Amino acid sequence: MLGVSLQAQMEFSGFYQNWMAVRAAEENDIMLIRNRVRLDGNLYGETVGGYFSIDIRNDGTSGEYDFETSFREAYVDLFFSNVEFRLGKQQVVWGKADGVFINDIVCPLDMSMFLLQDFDNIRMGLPMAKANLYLGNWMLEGLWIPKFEPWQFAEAGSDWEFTLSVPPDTVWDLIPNVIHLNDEELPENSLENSEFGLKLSTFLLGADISLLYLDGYADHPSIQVVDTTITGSPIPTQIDTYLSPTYYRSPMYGLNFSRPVFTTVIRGELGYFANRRFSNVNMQTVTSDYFSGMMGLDFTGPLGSSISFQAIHRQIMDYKSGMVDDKTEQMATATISGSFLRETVIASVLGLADVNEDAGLGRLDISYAWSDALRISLGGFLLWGNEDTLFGQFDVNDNIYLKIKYSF
Amino acid sequence: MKHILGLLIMLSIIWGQMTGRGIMEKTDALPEPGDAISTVKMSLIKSKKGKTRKRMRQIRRYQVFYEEGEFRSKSLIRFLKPTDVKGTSLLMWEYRGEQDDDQWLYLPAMQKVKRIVAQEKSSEFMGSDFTYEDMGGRDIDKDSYILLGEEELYGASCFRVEAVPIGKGSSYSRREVWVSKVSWMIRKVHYYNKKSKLVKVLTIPNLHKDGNYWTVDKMVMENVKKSHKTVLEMKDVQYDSGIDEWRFTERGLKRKN
Repeated sequence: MLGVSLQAQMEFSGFYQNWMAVRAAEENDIMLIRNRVRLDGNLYGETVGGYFSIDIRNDGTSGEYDFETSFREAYVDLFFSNVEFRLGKQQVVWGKADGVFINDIVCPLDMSMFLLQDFDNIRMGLPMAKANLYLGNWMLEGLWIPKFEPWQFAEAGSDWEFTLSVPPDTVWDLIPNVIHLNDEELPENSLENSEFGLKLSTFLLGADISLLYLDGYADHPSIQVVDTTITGSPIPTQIDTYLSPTYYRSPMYGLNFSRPVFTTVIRGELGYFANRRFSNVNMQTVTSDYFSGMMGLDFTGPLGSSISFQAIHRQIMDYKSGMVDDKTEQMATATISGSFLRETVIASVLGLADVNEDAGLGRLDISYAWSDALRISLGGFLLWGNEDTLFGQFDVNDNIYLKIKYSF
Repeated sequence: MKHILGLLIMLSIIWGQMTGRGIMEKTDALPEPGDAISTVKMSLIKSKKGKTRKRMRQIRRYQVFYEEGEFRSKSLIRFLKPTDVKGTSLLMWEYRGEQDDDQWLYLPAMQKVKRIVAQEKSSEFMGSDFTYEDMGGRDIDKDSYILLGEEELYGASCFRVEAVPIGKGSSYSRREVWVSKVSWMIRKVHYYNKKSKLVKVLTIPNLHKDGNYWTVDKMVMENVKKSHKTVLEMKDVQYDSGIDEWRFTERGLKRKN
């Protein structure tokens, strides 16, 4: 009887998308032809629910990942009067910022195409248990993530491979120094290596406020020197340095808020990360707490457009001379979007700038809804900056794209 | 026969004494439910050079109304169609007095709840011919009224009342409202812009009484300048079903059903 009831409330939806990108700097250089099919299944019930999302992807130009099928999410919900449980692979979103990730660090990111994927495709689901307790305007969320999973980066040799920044001005500059990067070391599968988090949210004096705590691993591994060999005697002719990316725990304490003030929404994220590891010019690891914060403003502009500005500040709290990273970093983002012709045309401009390094990313996107099911988007990405900066290393990847999406 | 004749005479005396304000007070005094759930199909129809283009949206709407206290109403709108916006939800808390509404938007693709400021009242609701001002209720004291006459509409006798905004706060210079003498429900509205030009016509051809409450089955808003119209069709309407308060919180915004 229960089975019949569940089946009656099952619903399917999804989309097919073709994404073609052409490098702007060179003629006929097709960077990507990606075909993606998404199938979502929803199970509705009063006390039990469920959801799965299957992603089938085919890339026409990359080598090893020609075809990939994965479950983005697959979970079961249990609903009670004041408590809800969600068990299975799922995405948890803890942030208020758009396009930058400060406190939104529960789920790893898919950076295989840097920040060029749609933001809803960047976050990856994790197998976890989530419980939510609701009392009036208060909500307490608890997470248990049995196994840490790191960010996903592009394969070596691909357009979006991150270059490893070697500390400048080292003594080794005088002699050829060959860097060998070992495979990253992931924490062993054990209870003590699992991650857990708490989020307490409320609506107070017109503001949405959340306090966050995540006892988990840092997103990025610390790069540690595990071995060094010197060739040549008595005068060294080459140094071989073996680096090993190692993941480590770094608890996060966070505060999120958002509140309208007259016609503007003010929102922010403050994150404090304990025991972060940084490299110095001698390739040693230095530990310090770390702060990251964002303040954003959203308001309505001319012709009903939506305008957002965000300012981001990051700081190494216990800065020591010789650290490779700067003591502080400032970033800024701006987004303007608007819909026209009864929401059939949507245009948006996004800018993300690293203020310290004079580097950044820009995106222009114009989409047209041919019908209720078919949307066509035309746009382009512009990346700029010196090649040793986060954005500038992809300067040659400026591209123009066409996306066709059919929803069913 | 005597009774019917007497009733007609009595009604004609009452109607004979009706003022524009009195008619709108009758409309305003119609019983309202404590809460309501409905599914609304919205068809956007464009006609040009003999060709017709139609787009469709469907929403599920939950509303609760408060007779007293801080809130006037709370409502949750969930998009069911088209598929690419399915699951997008809008939560609105409307306060008594001058306090601005609180609004939140849930985007299922991003799995993010965003605090938003209330839309400008003159902006289009979901790309339709309705504005947020048209969709919201209008306080009876915000207009002055003149009874213009009586007309037959959809087989029912109606009062025709002119409503002129008192002060600022409306995107229209005036409205002409047809009110049924039988149900006291609005059956037609003419909207005039600030230059006193007719810009839109709302018609309500179908309605029925469900228990204590009148239910609009269909309404059509036609933009007379742009050859475009929006048809709203209501179905699966439930009144006073005792919607849980959590429906009107972040928990309800994220819930898929």
